[in-house]
Amino acid sequence: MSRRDAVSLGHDDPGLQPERTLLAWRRTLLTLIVVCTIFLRWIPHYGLIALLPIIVSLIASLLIQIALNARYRKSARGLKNERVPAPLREVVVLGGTVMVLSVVGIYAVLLG
Amino acid sequence: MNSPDPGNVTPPATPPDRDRLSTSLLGGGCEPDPRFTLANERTFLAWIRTALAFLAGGIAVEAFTGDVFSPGLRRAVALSLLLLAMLVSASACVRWLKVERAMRHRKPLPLPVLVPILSLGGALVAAGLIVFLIYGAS
Repeated sequence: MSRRDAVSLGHDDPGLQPERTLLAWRRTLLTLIVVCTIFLRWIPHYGLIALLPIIVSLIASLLIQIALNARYRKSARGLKNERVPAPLREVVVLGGTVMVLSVVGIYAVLLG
Repeated sequence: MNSPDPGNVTPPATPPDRDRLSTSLLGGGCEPDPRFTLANERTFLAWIRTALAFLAGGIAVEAFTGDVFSPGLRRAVALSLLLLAMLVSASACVRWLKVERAMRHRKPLPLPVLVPILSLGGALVAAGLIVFLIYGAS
């Protein structure tokens, strides 16, 4: 989101909800990537399966980030028109990624 | 028009542009106040970060605590943290969907079922660790 976009798409929400939501998404994605780097510590022990989480989460973060940029514009506009579409896909992709990561972790621990 | 009170919001005349997946999962009702949609989204993200913290804990226990716990205990702790991460992220998605549906139908919001489970579970784990520290370490 460039600065010019933000200014030209200015919404009149004094609670800054679009920004807060966008930042919440960003810090969640950042946390996701940071958490996945801990998986790298498993490479010597478990082998290349430890690379899977970081690949999955990088792809998911990229997809969600692209969708979010479009979504920010929509929500800035939507606040003026009193409607913002529910981010069903982003929610499913992010929740699914975290679940897949947990399953990979459980699998690796069980495999020993 | 700009009031956060749901009673004062006029529903949009034209249906919003939504794909089939959203239509089937979100059900009918009318579009909620956009601020509520965004707030629900941020709550979902906060739960996901909680799940990620459990996930990080689980991985870290498995990766770094070889000298602290016996192999069996380390496995049990890592597995329970990872299972919690899965439970929290799954219920975050389900709860987001439930709240979104409730808002669309102007119904009362569902209770967070996970909150009592999590706090009880946290208390049990802490108690278990205290017992381990007192009796297990010697």
